[in-house]
Amino acid sequence: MRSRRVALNSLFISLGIAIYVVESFIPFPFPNGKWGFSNFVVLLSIALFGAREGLLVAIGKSFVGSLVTGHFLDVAFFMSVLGSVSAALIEAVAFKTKVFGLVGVSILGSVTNNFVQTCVGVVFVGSKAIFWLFPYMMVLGLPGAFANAYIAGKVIPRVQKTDFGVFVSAQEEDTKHAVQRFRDSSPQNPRNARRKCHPHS
Amino acid sequence: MMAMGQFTDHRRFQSMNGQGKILKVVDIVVVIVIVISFLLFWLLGQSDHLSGYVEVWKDGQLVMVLRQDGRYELRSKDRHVMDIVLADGKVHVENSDCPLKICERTGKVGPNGTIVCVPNKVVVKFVGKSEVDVMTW
Repeated sequence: MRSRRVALNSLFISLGIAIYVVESFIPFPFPNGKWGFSNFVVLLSIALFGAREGLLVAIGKSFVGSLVTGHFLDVAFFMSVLGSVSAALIEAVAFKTKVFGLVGVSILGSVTNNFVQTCVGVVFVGSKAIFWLFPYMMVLGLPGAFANAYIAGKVIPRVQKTDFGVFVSAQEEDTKHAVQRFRDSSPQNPRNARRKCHPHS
Repeated sequence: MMAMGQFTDHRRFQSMNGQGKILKVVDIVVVIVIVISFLLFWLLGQSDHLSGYVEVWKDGQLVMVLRQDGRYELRSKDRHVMDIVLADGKVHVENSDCPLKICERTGKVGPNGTIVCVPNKVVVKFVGKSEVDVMTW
C-alpha cells in the first residue's frame, strides 16, 4: 500500500507541475498573475487522501514547477511556495471542518494564497503599496477557484467509484490473488477467449 | 456502483460523508463576503483616489496643505496671490497676479509634480506616491 501511495502522490505532483507550467502561458488580466488552476490538484489530493498529501503536492509542484519555469529561489518562488503551502493548510482545515463545500474550500485557499503572496511581496519589495493589490487579486482568484472546485467535485465521485482504475483492493493484501483473478477474467486468457470481460465494467 | 464492488474499496479514501459537495450555502456566503469587501474597498478607493496631498509653500514657509478637491485662494498680507485648484487628482494654478504667469502655464500637475511661481515665491508641491509605481511591479 505504501508504494501505491507513493505512486499516486507522484502522479498528483507531476500533474500539478504540468498544470503549473502550462497555465503560465494562459493570459491573465493582471501582470504576473495566474488563474491558479494547479491548485486543483492540491484540492483533489486533500479531498481524496488528506492534509499531508495535499501539502506534499503543494510543495512538490511549487518547487519543481519553479525549477521548470526558471524562477527557482527568487521572489516569485517564495511567493509560490509559501502561498500554495499555506493555501493547502487552510484548505485542509476548511475541508476537515465539513462546514464548507468544495467551492468554499477552494476559495478560502485561493484567498489565503493571494494574501500570503501579497505579504511575501511586501517583505521582499519593502513597499506596503503592494497591499493595495490584494483586493483585486482576491476577486480575480475567484473564477479559478470556482473552476477548480467544480472540476474536483466532478472528479472525486468518479475516482472513488473506479479507484483510478486500479483493480487491486485493499481487503486483498495478497496482490497475487487479485492479479490471478484479473487474469482469469481477462480476454487474453485462452480460457476466456470467447468471453469479453472487462474487470472495470 | 455496487456492480464493481469487488474491485472497490471505499475505505481507502477518507470518509467524505457529504463532503464531496461542490456548493454549499456557506460557500455562497463566503463568495458574497469577498465580493462585498472588494466592492467596499473599490468604492472607498474611488472617493479617495488622491494618493497624496498638496503642500503650498510661500516665502519658504508651509502655509497650506490641501487634501480634498476644491478651489483654494492663497492670500498674502490681505492681497490675493493666486487660486490653487485641486481636482481629479491633479493640481493647477489660476488667477495668479504674477506678470509672466508661468505657474498657470505649467498646467495640471499630478503626484510628485511641482508648480513654482518665482515672483510670488510660491511653491506648490504634490506630495505622494504615484499609482504608476504600484502598477509596474
